[in-house]
Amino acid sequence: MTLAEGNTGDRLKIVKLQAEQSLVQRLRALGLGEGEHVELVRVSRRRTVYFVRTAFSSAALGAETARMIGVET
Amino acid sequence: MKIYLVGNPNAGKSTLFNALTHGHAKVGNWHGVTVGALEKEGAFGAGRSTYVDLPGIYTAEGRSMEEKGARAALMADPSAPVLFVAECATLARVLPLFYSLCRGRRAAVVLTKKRRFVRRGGAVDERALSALLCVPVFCAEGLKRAELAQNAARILASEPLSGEAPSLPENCYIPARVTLSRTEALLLNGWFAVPLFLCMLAAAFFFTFAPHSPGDLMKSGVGAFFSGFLGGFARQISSHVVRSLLADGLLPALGTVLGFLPQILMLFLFLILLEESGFLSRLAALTDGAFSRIGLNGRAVFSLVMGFGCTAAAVLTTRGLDDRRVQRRTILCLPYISCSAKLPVYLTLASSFFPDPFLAVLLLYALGVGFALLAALLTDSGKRSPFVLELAPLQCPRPLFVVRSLLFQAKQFIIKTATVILAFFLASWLFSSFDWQFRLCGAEESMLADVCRGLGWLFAPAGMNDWRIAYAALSGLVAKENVAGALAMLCGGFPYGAASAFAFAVFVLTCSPCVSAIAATARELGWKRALLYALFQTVSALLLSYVACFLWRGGAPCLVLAALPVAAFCLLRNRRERIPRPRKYHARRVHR
Repeated sequence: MTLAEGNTGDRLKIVKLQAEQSLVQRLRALGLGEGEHVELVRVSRRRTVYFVRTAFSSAALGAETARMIGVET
Repeated sequence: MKIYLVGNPNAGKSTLFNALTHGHAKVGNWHGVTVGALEKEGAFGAGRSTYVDLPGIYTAEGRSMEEKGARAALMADPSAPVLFVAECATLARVLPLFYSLCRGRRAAVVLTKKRRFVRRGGAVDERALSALLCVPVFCAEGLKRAELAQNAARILASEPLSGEAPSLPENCYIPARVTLSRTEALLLNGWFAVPLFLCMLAAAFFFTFAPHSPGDLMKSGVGAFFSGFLGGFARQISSHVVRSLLADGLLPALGTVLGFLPQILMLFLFLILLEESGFLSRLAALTDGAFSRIGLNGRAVFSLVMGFGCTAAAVLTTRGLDDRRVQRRTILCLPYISCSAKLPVYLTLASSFFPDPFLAVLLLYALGVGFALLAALLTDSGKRSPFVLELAPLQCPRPLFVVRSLLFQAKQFIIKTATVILAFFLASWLFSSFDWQFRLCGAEESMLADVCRGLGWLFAPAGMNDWRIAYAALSGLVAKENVAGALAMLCGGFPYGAASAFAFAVFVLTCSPCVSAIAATARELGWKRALLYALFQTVSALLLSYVACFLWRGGAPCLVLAALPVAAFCLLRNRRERIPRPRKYHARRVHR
């Protein structure tokens, strides 16, 4: 499944990043790399913004970005 | 020798830069404040050296334009030492970046935001970390300039960095707990955060512009000081020329502009509180969905909000956008966001077309935002890059920082008034008070009238066939504050009725920005595009002012009927372009 299918409160593990190289590097730099654990703090009502929290910081991802992140529970 | 300050966005590089160099680099609690390299000499050990503050970098290769610029600046000087600035909370995450940027250079790690990190249960031992990384490590928080300079000089004793980023053992580093407070949870909820922002905006406008509000009272006080107190002295001067210069020229003009300083500062106070609190990051994320539909993204909120302060500064912040198309579109929208310099003009005109100046100014600001969003919608090409934004921590704005920022803005405004605007007013008074034989005369017989009389037709369709109005309007291309001052000097206020006042306000709202903003646009997009935008905005502003006058005089129904097919065409065109079609697609007619 992808991060875009997650719901508020889910704790997920990132298994795959399917995006262009520069975006993958940016995600890894924010602590959203493969093998990292994230918490979906909040998903907006229209599922356009996904607020995630990692071990180090918090970030906001758009729907398109969330669809590029493969996760497992 | 140059020393580069490098690190993630919002790590504290510019704060450290200001501390070392007595500089005034802009700082704020959001990612992407610094958009260009800043150089200044500062204390280094017992001597001095040049520090270079670079924009924040997430990855060595860089994704946004400012990251690529920072990387290029660093690569251009491969032997220069580096102060790597890292937040304590994200130290483990940024170590790979530290190694990839600083390998082969002498470097030191500067830790920031340690108090907050320790409050959340984290711990870091600088000495153990220094031994592990084999580079000097020190915490910048709480150090005075001399101590910072001494610590920075430890770079000279270090060896060039080598090896790979190690993992951090517990004796060096214990990560903090990352918890979500109730306030943070509320501010991630769009149903709460966006209305909260709109209420804060309305409150800021109310306290600044409403009759008998603190802003209005302070403005009246400054105005009374110039026109009443100083004007009284000026009218006693025996010399006809000097009396004319002061009483009819400089004092009304300068008094008009400086009178708005308290209100401009109140507006900046709101912007500073918004930036410093960390609310702006959350607002940018929450509005990304809506902005995507009109060709922008949430990151553009930073630039649009900064546009309420200064258009030129807002144009520069667009460098933080990952997508060049979104950057162009955002820069096209920014002139429609009313900057603080337009405020004197609005308030001068407001009483002519609305009994309540607060409502008039609110209408104009709302109209500006509407035009900005419409410009984005009409230029939307349907393509945009994925949205990723690190959220700045929520914090209470530091009172000392807020006061210093306000004082800096006041100083900048007074300097601008005392130089650019004063020079313009002096020139305007000179050319509007003397004829070609340099004899003192009325404005209608002056050199300025002879030169500008041919421009009177510009605003004739808006009921103002008057060269003075045209001159005042075009003076806004130098600095928007000039418009209010020129109206005060040449006309003693605004001499026309409500429809014309509204039309003139719409012109000022939608016209090309000042030369500083045009220069900033040229730096980002090139001179050709910057001048094209300026020309388009000025011409369209004139046309919009005619339409505004027509609407005010009761032409709304006709305009709505004429606008409906145009709006339908634009919306259908945008919808059609969003439907993906294969290349060389040709529509086929189906015959039945």
